[in-house]
Amino acid sequence: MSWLLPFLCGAACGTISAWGVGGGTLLLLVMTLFLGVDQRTAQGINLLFFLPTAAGALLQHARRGYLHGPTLRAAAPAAVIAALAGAWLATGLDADLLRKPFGVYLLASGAVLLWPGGRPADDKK
Amino acid sequence: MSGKWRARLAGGAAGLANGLFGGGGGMVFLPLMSRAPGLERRQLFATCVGVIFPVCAVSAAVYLFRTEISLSAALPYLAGGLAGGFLGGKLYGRVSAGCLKWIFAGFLLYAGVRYLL
Repeated sequence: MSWLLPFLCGAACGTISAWGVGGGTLLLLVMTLFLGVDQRTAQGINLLFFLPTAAGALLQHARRGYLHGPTLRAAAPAAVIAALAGAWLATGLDADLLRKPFGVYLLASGAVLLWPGGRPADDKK
Repeated sequence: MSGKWRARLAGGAAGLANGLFGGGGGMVFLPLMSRAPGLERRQLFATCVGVIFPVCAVSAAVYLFRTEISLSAALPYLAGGLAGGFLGGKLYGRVSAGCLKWIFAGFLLYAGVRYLL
């Protein structure tokens, strides 16, 4: 039954993410704070978790013509190169070194989310 | 700043954060791009997924290649995620995402403090 709790947590986070809430860190935090998964494993699982859901959403967006080509072409190459560097660093460093920066990052994300008009997520629909 | 450079910068920052922390790049990309001219909200969210998807794909590959993450440990989460995504799609619009956003923001602040202590 050791798979049941992870399955249920995945289902809950998947449901909430489908509503546009969760920011890609919800499952990660549930794993590290409540399920005792170590930070690096949780990060890897979180990345894998995003792929099938995002692929489905992406197809829908592309079909409806919502992808903005110029922005995508400018942002994606820079993002991929930076991601490779970030992931390489994260998998090479002592995982504990990233705890404090991650905490600051979470606080900043929470603050941005609460900032009035700071993020357009609230009226997504 | 020209739109192109703004997008490059936002993409680079989102990619770096997402690779380092294993997620959350969208939370960097969206606020940086929210005032970009010529991008309506729906396009912004869709394009954000378009940027973060390849980012997660290459980051996941690096994590799988450089650490001992077992796919069998990830499987229950992935299966749950698929079921949840389906359920979430069915229930979409029946739940106030605005209220959830506040709860999630509170949870982020709580988690941030837990990580800092």
